[in-house]
Amino acid sequence: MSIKIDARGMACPQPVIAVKKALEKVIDGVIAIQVDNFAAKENVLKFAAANQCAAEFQEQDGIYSITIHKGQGVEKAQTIETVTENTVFLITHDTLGHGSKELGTVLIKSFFYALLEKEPLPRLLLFMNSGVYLTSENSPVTEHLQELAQRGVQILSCGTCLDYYELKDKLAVGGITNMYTIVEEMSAANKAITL
Amino acid sequence: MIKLTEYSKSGGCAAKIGPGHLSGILCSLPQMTHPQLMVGLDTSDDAGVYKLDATTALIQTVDFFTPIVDEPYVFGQIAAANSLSDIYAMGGKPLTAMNIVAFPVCKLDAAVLSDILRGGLEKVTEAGAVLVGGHSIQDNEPKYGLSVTGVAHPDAILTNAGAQPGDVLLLTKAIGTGVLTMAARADMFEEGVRAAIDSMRQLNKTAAEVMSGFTIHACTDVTGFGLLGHLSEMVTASHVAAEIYTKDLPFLPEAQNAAAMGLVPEGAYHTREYLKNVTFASNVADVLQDLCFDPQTSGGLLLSVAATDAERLLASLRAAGVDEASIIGRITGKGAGTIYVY
Amino acid sequence: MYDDLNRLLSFCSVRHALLAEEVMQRLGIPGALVPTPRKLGIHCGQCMLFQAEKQEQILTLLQEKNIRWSKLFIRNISADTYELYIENDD
Repeated sequence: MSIKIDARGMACPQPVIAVKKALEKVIDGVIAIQVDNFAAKENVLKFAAANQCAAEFQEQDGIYSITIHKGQGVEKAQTIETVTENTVFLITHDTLGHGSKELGTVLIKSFFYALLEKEPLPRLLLFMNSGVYLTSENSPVTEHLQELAQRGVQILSCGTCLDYYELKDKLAVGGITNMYTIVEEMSAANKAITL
Repeated sequence: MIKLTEYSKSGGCAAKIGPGHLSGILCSLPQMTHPQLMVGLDTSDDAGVYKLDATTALIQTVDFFTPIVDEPYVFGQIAAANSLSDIYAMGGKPLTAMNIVAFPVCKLDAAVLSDILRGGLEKVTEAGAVLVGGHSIQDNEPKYGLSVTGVAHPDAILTNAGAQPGDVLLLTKAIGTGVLTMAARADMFEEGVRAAIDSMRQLNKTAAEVMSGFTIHACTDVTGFGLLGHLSEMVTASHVAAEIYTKDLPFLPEAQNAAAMGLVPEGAYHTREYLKNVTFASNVADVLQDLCFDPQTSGGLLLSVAATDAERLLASLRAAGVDEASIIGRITGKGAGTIYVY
Repeated sequence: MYDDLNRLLSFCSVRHALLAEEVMQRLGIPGALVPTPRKLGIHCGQCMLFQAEKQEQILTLLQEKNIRWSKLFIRNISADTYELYIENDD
């Protein structure tokens, strides 16, 4: 079913009212509406989105032709596109460097914070030995790792290590892996860096 | 029953000429200076102020617009409250008012105009002022408002040009009358519309009385250019920069829903396009951004006060019944009128 | 990250930064210790991010505990810039 509306010359909120009435009549179909000002175009698009309808528009000579689809939901793209490169980091401690443990914790936090600014991001982070404390509950870097994961970085923790430290049911970010995969991934990487 | 809004294309302060057009027009006028002129055109303030003598300054303002609600009496109340507000925003007390009327005598019954005027008179009386006359013309679209004269001690005059770094910003009424008056035209969001009407017909009198017991650095009322438009006038005139926290802004009920539904007045889009000095944090939702530009009719007072006075002023306003009064931001330092919205 | 933290405080030394983190955590004041943003200096140091509304509370607290901060910046998250707001002369 398709409905055509000419809303040129109509003052707001008339175009939105017209679309509202049309959407009430249509169960599955297309509504094509024309408006002649930016505000009306924006408002109609907002109304469509608020009613879970996909919509697109074209503009020519100041006239906006908007097409609204009812019966198909608006896809909200949650994935954030990021480019990752074939670099793998192996993190083997829950602190960075040797010497003071207090400083080591500050440094590992700083490291992951700074890593978030790197472009492109590494493809994979592997956590081993006491490094698995960083992917478990009460880690100082949970938020950082979650952000990295959202941007497409894979995060894996060694199962043996989680088991040894009794953290298997306290894993907070990423998945569990084994030594075979760790060896494979490090060999397949362009760059493998151990912290 | 009469539906006043059917007689006009756009309503209330949303019908104002946009800031872009207006500044272009005003720039072309010759600059006025006069030894008695305290506040003129140059700082885009709410009213004009003329010093009569050492203890008295005269405040003059005018405001009128097309119907934003259907009931004539309510329209009269709102338009009058809106006009009177500018006197309060300057730190003054209204003295006299005159009606400005445009009315389609052939299309609408005289009783409708009578109701509008009665609504206006009620508010003038509530403000403690006297209606001394008026002027009306025939017009296809009904319009109503007042020209108001007020007084204040010259030292008590508040302008929008005194905000200082470190100040806290307060707002005395909730935002959203623009989207909700659109909702009224679409017969949607009844509860929100009722709340908006009550807010619009409320005078800023109580807020002004409470404020007189504090040192206010800058004051303006939030009307047709929306919160950010009027804040922009304040920070530009004061040569400062400001921050606004959207999580602390008072919104009228259902205003966010109305904005999400595309009931955003054209004025909001114009103001957004015109203001070049506003930056939003990446996590401020579109709906909140739209409401920050939403043109208000008979809005609240936007105040800039020393940080040390802010909590006390807020408590005093709330205690006096100004329930929506809220701290909404701060003046961050000297600047060229930049505004960050979080 | 940390989109709601719009103030940045730098310190005289990392030790003071760590002390600040400790006292803020003890009082439950939200904040985050981060490496000094590149735009503000090339030396590695630690800065504290926090919310503007907590500014007075934090500065008073640091003064009481003799924790020496050096500069306060306003953070514009969307533009990723920092504007010097206050310098500590003590």
